[in-house]
Amino acid sequence: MSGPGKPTSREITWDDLEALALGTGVLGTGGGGDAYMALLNTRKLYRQGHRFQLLDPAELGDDDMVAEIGFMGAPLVIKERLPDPEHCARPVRAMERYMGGRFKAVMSAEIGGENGMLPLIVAAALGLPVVDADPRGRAFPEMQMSGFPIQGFPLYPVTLSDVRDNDVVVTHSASPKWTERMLRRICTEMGSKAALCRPPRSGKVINEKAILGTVSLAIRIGEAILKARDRHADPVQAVIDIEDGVEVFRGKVVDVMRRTTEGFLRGTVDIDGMDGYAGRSCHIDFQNEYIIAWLDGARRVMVPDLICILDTVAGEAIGTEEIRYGQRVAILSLPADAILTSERGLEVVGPRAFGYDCDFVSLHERTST
Amino acid sequence: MTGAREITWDDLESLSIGANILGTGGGGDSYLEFLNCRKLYRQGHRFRLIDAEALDDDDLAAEVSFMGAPLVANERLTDPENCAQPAYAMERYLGRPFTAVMSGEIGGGNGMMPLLAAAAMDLPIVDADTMGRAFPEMQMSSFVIRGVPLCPFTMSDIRDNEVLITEAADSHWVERMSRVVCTEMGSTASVCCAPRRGRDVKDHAVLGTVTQAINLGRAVRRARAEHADPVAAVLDAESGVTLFKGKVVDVARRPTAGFLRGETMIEGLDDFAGSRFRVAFQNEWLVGWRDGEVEVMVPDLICILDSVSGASVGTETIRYGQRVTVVSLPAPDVLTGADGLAVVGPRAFGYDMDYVPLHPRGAP
Repeated sequence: MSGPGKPTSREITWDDLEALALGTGVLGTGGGGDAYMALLNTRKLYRQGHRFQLLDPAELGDDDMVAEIGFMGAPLVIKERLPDPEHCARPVRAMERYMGGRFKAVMSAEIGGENGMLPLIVAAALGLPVVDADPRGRAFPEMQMSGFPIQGFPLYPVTLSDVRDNDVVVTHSASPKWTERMLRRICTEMGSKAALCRPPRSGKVINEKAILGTVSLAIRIGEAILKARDRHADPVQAVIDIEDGVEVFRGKVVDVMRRTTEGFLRGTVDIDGMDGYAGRSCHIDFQNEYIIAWLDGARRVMVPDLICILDTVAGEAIGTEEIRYGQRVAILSLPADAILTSERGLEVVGPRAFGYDCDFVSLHERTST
Repeated sequence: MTGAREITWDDLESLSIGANILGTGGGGDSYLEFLNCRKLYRQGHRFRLIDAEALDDDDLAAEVSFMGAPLVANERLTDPENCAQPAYAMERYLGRPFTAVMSGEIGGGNGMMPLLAAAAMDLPIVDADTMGRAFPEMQMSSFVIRGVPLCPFTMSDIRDNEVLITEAADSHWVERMSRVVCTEMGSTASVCCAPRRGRDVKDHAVLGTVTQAINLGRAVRRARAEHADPVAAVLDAESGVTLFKGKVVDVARRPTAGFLRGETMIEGLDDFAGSRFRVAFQNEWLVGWRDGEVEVMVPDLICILDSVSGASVGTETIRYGQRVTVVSLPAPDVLTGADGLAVVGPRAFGYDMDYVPLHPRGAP
């Protein structure tokens, strides 16, 4: 078992929705899509009488099957094509038909960004609870960058659906990376947005291999930000406190270079220091998510640790698709889960997996696992 | 199964030659499949051909073919297990075994590929296909023209990647989605279209095309052996017409978006001296112009043959200096009706022109 602990079973309240949207934004490390549309969608469902049940994975039977779901695509497109519960649920139903069984619950494929809220929308359409766990504890740009493939689980079967009712199943793949390669091409052809359902996970596998309690964690982060705002305290410090984070930099965005390539949003951000950081500079590379941050030309934070860029006043996370000149931001490093920083984890989600020829160095102390 | 007849050692070479001619420049050269079939034959395997009528209405036939760029298919050698892999995947998905294998397109390498799949699966081959020729896109099929869906659809590569399309907005979307996966797989993949019920094969497939290809190839070989004109033998066997004879003087070829597109220019010789003939292609020959006037177009078969040997010249192999004869063979009726033209007529390939038939219609 891994994770921030304290998974719970309870109803997700109206107030929790806003906190969850804020918290998943922080854990999105710039990617995973903006959760705002999903927040509006879940609020609408709530008003219509839907209630979202959070489920402690400990309450799952060993053989209960859980649908691991998420959107695939470019965050910019995800913003234009609004999520619709029936479409989001479609790959789950396709997976049930393919495997000939029924799911007991749904779980997020990544807690970061819009994908952290998507399970609520699907759960409403299917009448299922949402498991308080995910396999990443953050967001990553590629499908194989996940706790289950890292721990040796195959990345098939996977179902993928678009809004035109196209359904595709990867029934077998040579490697998790091949699942990513094939589905990325289809997703791009579909217009760079598709809903997908990853291989069914049993209750036993989730309890042993997932990162537990991450939905609760996202809600706690969001609550801390909201509370700090109410008290006119520093919301950035509130996030640092709750997540054992490290403040890396504060300043003003002075340059953004962004290009949409091969189904990803890639680019760089340059930030000039302010306050205690005056005269210093920070440079960040991104591929959907923030990947590496340099402070005065030296590598300071890198994947899989979470690089979060927050608005210094509101404490809200700023995504790679929306960061722009003039924004006042704080840059934090939050510790990645031990699954991601294991030797095998670093092969899949460490700096080299993103094409950077450097070893993983962290700002966070870790107790051996 | 009753009514099965063997495809003989001698038939294999005839089938290879005939399938290439019916490929209208595309479908991939059948030479590698031919070598593979011969090897299997030498190892003791026998290929059984059955008429569609031998299928029960509820029997299922696996409609298999290669997808991709002919140039790549020439480099990645085929093996029977890989040809059968998408059919196995389909059997697993359906929870039902296939009774037979049939060709998606009789033209080119895809006219022989089903023999390899059938050998691996130990099943007979149905004497039919869905085009009576070759076409570049998956939805260009008699089943689609008649409203029988392309889904479920399976595809596999040599790395054991397998993709299944269970639902599609329309058959064109099956083409779009499978094409990008195929390109990612390295521009060659084996595919299996929706399982074909015996009833649908009898009602909607183009029947007898394996035998047609064997007879066509046999006629060419006989003419060669007798030092007669093999091109004339093709015309006799298929009620075809000669459109042009000359020398290739220009070829513009570009692989784009998973297809080989371009055009070739032929300068007239003998009776055609002083004229020029231009042919546009997308994997297959699509439209032919003589001195700027449209002379022939899809779905009629445009075949460019070596003027001496009668062998088919493919869009990926045609080159400067070749002496060639351009002939047209009639298309199956299912392709030339209004429904057929909507899917495989000139407009389906982006040419703003109405189909003008070159061949008399109405013959059975």
